[in-house]
Amino acid sequence: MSTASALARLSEPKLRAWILARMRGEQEIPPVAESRLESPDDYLRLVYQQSHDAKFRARLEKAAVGALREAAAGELRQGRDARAVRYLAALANSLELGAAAAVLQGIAERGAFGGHDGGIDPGAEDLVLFSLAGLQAPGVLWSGWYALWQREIPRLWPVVTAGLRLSDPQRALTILPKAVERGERHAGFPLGEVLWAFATYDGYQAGELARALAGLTREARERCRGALKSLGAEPEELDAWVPLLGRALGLGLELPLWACGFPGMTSPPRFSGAPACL
Amino acid sequence: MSLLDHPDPAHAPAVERFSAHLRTGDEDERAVLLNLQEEDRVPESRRAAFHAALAGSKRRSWKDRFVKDAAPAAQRALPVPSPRPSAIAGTWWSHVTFAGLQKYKYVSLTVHKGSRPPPRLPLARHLGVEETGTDRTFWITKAVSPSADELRDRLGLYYFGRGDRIYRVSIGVDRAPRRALYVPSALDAGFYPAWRHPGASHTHPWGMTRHLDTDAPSEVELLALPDAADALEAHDLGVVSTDPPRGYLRVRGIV
Repeated sequence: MSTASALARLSEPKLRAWILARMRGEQEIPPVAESRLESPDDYLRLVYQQSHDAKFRARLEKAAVGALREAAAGELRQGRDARAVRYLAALANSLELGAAAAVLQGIAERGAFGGHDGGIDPGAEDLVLFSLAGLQAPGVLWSGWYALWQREIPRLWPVVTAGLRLSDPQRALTILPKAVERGERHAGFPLGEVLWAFATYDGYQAGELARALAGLTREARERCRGALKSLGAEPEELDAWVPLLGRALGLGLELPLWACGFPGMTSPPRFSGAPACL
Repeated sequence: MSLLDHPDPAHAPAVERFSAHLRTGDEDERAVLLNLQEEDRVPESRRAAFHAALAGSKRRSWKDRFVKDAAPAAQRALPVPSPRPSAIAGTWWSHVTFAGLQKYKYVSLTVHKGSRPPPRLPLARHLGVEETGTDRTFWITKAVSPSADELRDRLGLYYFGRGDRIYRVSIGVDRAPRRALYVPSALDAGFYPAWRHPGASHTHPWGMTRHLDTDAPSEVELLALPDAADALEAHDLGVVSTDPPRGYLRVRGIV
């Protein structure tokens, strides 16, 4: 008998206990190949994906949320429950367990999201916020994400950009100039990845990113384009996402420099006479 | 001689108890037992160290005694000879999932659902370097394929599931001629059921992966430790679209 088929026979309480033990590091069979970047939640995702038993899948979903709730009751600054929360948050994200959102929010509020810096192990906190970003109800947590974005906690800025984008995609565009500034000031800020995530987000219409970045200087645009290019952006993507000054400023595409800021101008300026130097 | 054969009489009861656990275990545990039985390349002194660590471990769980104490006592037992055989030269890669890169903080957590992961990703640190700064061995191969599913199957990566996006990292083997490389043994694989002995007739200084469907030795593989010569960038190879096959367990008579 495989571990998967044994799990499929467990009642919900026993399944919850098994999941909790695995995420706490007390149950490591099947093995976790950390040298291949496998983590303890990966196996459960595979079991869930490969099961055709709807009742078992429902039981596993409930058990995972129950295990998260149980781990959340423990010490989260360090130790086995902090470890369990880290991987249960990852599992909630990969299985898209909407029922975990409230539990994740409660955990997040015990840390920086609730103004309690250091209240949660950083590794757990990052994945709790990542999972919460994906499972949150639209708009509800915007102010919490935005407050966190304004604070000087550089470690959390990248995941906060995901939280803002997935909370309210349109309002999230307003943070991009600040993100570009942080990309310049903070060496560790992943400007390219942040811009890429916005540029390829399927909730935006073509041109929205370009409009959000319209106020940037040419130098800042070049920096954005360089960051995106290093991730593999194609020239036509760069022109669509971060056009250089003179191409688009919300006035339409491919405008020459002389037309920028002069919507009524349809031809280049003409000089009445020969330049004075001649 | 198998890894489980002829222990020191003082260690024999522990080795036999461990074997019995595997023999009566689930299909993955029985696959691990076969791997250990087939492993005949580990030098006698290292095999003895494995037996002694298994017998001396004070851990409560028999699995922990193996994974945390006994196997590490004799890992990296098969170094690639120095100077390296010329056949080792060339391009080597290590394969990881996008989710793994995010969870282990090699990349940021900003790309999320609704956004497409980029073709190239800068890594925060070299592959194999943990967040704590500790070095860990990792698996490298020369395999290439345009299909993420085929690559997963040929490399024996049974935990790469449907929907996983695979990235590869270039490993600087030629750029670091003195770095240590190891032929993986069953003890390096630990509790990984889809590892395989490369075969009795295999004399090359590298291992071979186990094909998840056919059980065949498929691609060359080695173990490496992190090195500054490795790329600090991962390249997208596409998304796995199928569940991992388990045919190798049928071929081995385990299921």
